[in-house]
Amino acid sequence: MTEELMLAGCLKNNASSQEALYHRFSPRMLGVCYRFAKNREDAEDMLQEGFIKVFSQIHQYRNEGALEGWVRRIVVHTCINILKKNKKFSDSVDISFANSMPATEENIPSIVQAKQVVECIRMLPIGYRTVLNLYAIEGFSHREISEMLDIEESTSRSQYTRAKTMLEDILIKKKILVTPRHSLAYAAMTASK
Amino acid sequence: MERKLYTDSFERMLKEKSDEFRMYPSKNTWHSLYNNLYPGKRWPSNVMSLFCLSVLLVVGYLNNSGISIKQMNNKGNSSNQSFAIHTSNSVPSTTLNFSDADNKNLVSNNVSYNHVDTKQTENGLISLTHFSQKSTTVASEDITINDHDLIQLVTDKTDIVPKDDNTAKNNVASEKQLKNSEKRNEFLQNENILRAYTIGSVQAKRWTDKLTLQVYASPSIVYGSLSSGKTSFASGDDANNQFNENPSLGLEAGTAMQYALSGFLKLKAGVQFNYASYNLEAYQNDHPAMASLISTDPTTGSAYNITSRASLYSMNDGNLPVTLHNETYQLSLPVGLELKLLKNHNLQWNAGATIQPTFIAGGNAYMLSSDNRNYVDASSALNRWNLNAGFETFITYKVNGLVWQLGPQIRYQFLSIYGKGYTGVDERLANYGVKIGISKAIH
Repeated sequence: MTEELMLAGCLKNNASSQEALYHRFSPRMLGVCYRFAKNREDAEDMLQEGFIKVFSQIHQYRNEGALEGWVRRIVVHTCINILKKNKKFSDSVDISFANSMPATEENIPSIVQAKQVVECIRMLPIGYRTVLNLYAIEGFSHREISEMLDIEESTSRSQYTRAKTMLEDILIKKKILVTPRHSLAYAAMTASK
Repeated sequence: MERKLYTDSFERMLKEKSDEFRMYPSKNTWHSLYNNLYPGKRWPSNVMSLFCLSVLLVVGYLNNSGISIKQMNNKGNSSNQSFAIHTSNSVPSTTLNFSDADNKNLVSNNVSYNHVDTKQTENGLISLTHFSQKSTTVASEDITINDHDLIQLVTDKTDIVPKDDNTAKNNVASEKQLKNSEKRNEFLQNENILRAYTIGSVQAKRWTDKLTLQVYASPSIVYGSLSSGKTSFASGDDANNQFNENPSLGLEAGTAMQYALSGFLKLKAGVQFNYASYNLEAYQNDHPAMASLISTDPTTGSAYNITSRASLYSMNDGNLPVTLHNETYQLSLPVGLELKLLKNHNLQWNAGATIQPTFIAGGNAYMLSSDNRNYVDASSALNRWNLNAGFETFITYKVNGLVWQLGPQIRYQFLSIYGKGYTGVDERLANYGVKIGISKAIH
């Protein structure tokens, strides 16, 4: 089913078109939710709520930009709203925590893949993780993030800097990233290509 | 600048890797989403409600059909003529109601028998001691008979007609009334009408007498029987040898109508619900691995597709031992035969077999990947239609009009629980249970 047909069907509340749209985008969107969520179950709840909003607001889609981007934006906002509702941002950690992150040999994955990078991101404290997800991956500005999360813009910047440093350390300990301070190369990129 | 370059590339790497990452939601997520979007179209609750309602209606109709026919006939014909048989003993009186039916003979004869007095003799037969005839025209064409045994006696000409003079002598009143030979002859001429009615009615009564309603339940133990299918990546032994599968509990409940074909053979058909589950011993990993499933290409029907799925569960190695629970909810229409083997007073020994077309209403299934290494969530691959066979033997005990039954039963699934498209794995279930049932004849 083409995207146009799916869209037209969804505008008419056609269940099979909605299912087709869901099946097309849900794997990637669940990946997005998983980066924000505590576990898979929470991620699936976020996904479900996100798609309910997608289908209820589909008439607002103006065909400006890719449908996937529009769906993704709604899903991300849904994730943020759920996290805010559950007051997940209350817990934040000091940067020193990053150095004490356990990275034992048995936790190191044998094959470098996208999943490993995502799992490393998920090891960050929720506040750091959310800012990093929104800024580095979803492409929001610090000003937008501050509005979304009801925090200061400066807080968003500092959280991001700390999150990035912490993630670097985790990736190095996991042997996914090699000599980050002096080289542009990282194992993950080369391994995947 | 170096920092800037590094930062840019680091963020790019994060974005690229994150965008590459995909997860496949469970089927329940879509079902839950669908139910949220369409609260009025919930499935299978609506289907189940409709099904249960239909079963209740059918059972209710079958239970009350005899009464309702009689009531309808009584309402439909206000000029019904009553044919009463009074007995001198404690035998309850019996009434024959003439109502609408197909027998044209009666209409043409225009005769009705209004009142017959009988007395039970020593040998148990009822002899006619008195009858009177009215000139009432019979407008109706059927008889509803309540007491089957009495009517059988009445249909016998020798019982109706008092040939024996001694009988007449015993009752002076009846002797006086039997003096009118014309009336007697007329009675004899029209006795065949009564016979026709009673025979027809007795046959109808017998048909309903042969019906029995049965309700049963059976807790069981379910075993899965796994074998590698036509195609598999794995070499060497059959999957079942490497595979750690444990039995689990199942439940069967249903209702059936039985029709007695003869004194020892019954035909039965009904509806049945089955819950079947079994366990798989597996290991959970921290990170999902890609597992492959071989399936038939739906477009060509012959070539094979290899589908990749992410799986956290491994068959042989992993961090954490876990038990995966496979289960299915099934609706069946069992049709079969029941054979009486032995009978002693209220006790009876029977054996039965049914064939059960089955619809898999839902479930949860982990399938072994084609390389026999991982378990993949394959609920969507469940075969929606299947065929089962049931074999049972049981003891029945009759008490207060109810027949209780107890005995072992086996239920075997003929087709794999996975759809035809998935050729890598073939898994069938076998249930071993104890069936408890109760039956009641329908009148």
